[in-house]
Amino acid sequence: MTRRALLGSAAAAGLAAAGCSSAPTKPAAPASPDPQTVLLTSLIAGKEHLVSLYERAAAALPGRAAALEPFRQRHAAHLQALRALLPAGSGTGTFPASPAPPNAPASASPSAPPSVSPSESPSAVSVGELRDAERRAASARPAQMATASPALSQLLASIGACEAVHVVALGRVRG
Amino acid sequence: MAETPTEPARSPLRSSAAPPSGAPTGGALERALSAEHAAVYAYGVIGGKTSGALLKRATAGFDAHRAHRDQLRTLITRRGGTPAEPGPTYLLPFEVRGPADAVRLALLVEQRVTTAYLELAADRDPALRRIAALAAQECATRAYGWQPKLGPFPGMDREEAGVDVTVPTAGSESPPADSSGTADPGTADPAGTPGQEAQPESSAPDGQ
Repeated sequence: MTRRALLGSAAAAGLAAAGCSSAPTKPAAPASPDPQTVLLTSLIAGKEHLVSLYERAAAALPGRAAALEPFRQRHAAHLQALRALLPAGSGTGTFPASPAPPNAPASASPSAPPSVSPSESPSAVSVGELRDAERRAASARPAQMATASPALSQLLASIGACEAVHVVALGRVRG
Repeated sequence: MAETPTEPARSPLRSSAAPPSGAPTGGALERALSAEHAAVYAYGVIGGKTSGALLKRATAGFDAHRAHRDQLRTLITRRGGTPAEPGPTYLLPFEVRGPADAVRLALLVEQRVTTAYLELAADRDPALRRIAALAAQECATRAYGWQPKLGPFPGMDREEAGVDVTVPTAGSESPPADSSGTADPGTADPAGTPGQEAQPESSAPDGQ
């Protein structure tokens, strides 16, 4: 019943699994990338995109910026937790915070232009669009969890729960 | 509306017939059922102390948890198990005297059940993971309906979501001496489940 024990053991299992799969191969040889790392990289890109959406929305809606900030912060916390699960030396954990790589997976969001920086003044993001993005993110979690390590699956379930609440909470920001 | 948390780290809603902890892989499903049993019980109490819109909310929560309880029962039966019956009594973490207590209890229940579903989300079976993910989303959303507060990791303590996860030994379940004053034997929870109030500081009310 202790959550710590549970999550801890799951995390340990996940880390151990990641360690096992990457240890035998030489770190320099990316012959067969660890599937967990591939999944994590894609999840991180998706999360970075969500963070950037909030940045764009805050820039476009100064009156709502303060209300949107806690949402952005929670996404930033998700991002940090996802990055923490990347195995050390995978080479993917060091890319910069905001812009998603141009080859971000389609799952991130096909509708949004990749690799935007706020200074380029991309199209404004409305609260309604944030809400749609949150809804898509939350509903994509179960499928992403299917192949995730136990620890990552748990984390994604919690992140998805947060995103699902965001859908409701953004309704209050809008009004 | 919720006062300063005075409830110590006690395990709320633990059935007096709590199943043994530390069960292997299959245990998550059983523990989720146990959490739903407790939630159904608690929502009965919550409904008894609320009226109007809060009662409506309580009734919806009661129905939702009952539906999930039945879903979990079916899942356990289908896997050849025998779903546990609800405990004969449940120890509430505090006395529910009025609507404010009822809301507090509802938040605690949703948190607890969310945590149970997060545990299930680590199951090997993708179908169970999916069920757990959706149920966790539902619980977190319901909790937000009771009180518009939100931390980044519903169902998890902050440190659990981060890197430095400490792994207690499996035998650490034995309840330590209750340091809380109000002694309820068997309800001390070494996991130290904080109330909603103990969410990370980014859990300020949104959208106001």
